[in-house]
Amino acid sequence: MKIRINGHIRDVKGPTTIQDLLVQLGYANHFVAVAVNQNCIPKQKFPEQSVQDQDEVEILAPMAGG
Amino acid sequence: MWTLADKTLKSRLFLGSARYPSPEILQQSIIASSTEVVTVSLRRESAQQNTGNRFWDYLRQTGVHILPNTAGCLSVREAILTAHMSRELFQTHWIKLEVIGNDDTLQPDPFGTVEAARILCAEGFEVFPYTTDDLVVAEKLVSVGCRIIMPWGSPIGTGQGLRNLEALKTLRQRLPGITLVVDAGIGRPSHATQALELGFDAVLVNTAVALAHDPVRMAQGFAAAVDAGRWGYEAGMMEASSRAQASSPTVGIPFWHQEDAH
Repeated sequence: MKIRINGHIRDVKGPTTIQDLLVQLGYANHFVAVAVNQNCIPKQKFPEQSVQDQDEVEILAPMAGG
Repeated sequence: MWTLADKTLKSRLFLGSARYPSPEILQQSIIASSTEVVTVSLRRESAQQNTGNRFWDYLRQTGVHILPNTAGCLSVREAILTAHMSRELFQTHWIKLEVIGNDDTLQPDPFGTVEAARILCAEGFEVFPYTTDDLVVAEKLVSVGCRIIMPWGSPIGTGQGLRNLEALKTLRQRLPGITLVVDAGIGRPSHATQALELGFDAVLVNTAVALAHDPVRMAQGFAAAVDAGRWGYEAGMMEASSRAQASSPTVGIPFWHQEDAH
């Protein structure tokens, strides 16, 4: 399925949960926040919530900021 | 000691974490400044980078309170989503709200800021809104639930200091029960002292420390400047006068002759 990850369309094996998507993409041990279709997903829901074809996913990490 | 939202703090200096030469110097500057509040942002990260983890580790070691920001957000929707993601990741209900209205001046959008603040306050966030020195906007922010207002001294990163002293004085006079923090545009320690002398509760400084030749020494300078300003405010400063008045006693001046007096 095609999913937009951080602005870029990627081919992703599906169906998949957010947890598995993070592993698939290489974010397994990253300290990140995730939003799907502009909704923040709580971390405890990563193993159960799935992503669908055409979803937009934002994976954000802490960065320096003023 | 003073109260900021739900916390009791010693320091009235907040630091931004951007633009430092290295994470190590950022960490050393935080420690040297004795700050207890540091702002951070959320940004996209590629799986290969993992810089977020390293940055977060450096920051956590300092033990400061994290104040996530919504920097870069140009709309209410973006700011709200960023706030939600920040709360989820950092496990804090504090959020520095920025809804930018102009890419060139980075001036906050007053309408978007008030609307986003209204929504976030209703959701239980402690909103630290970045705003201009406009009293009406500040009053609107208070009316929607903000107990902290962060007016600019001058545009972000300019180092121009407090451009509109009268407007800042007005904010202090008209919002006596609100925590006021000058955020943006502070360029040197004397600007911070000036803000605290006006009765502002704290200042937030980023570029002035990060881009100093010696950020760690500058961080110390700002810590001292904030203390100086606060002590001056608490001590009650003299009023300026247009008329000179000798500070040494006039009685018993040596070599004085009546006939020479004028």
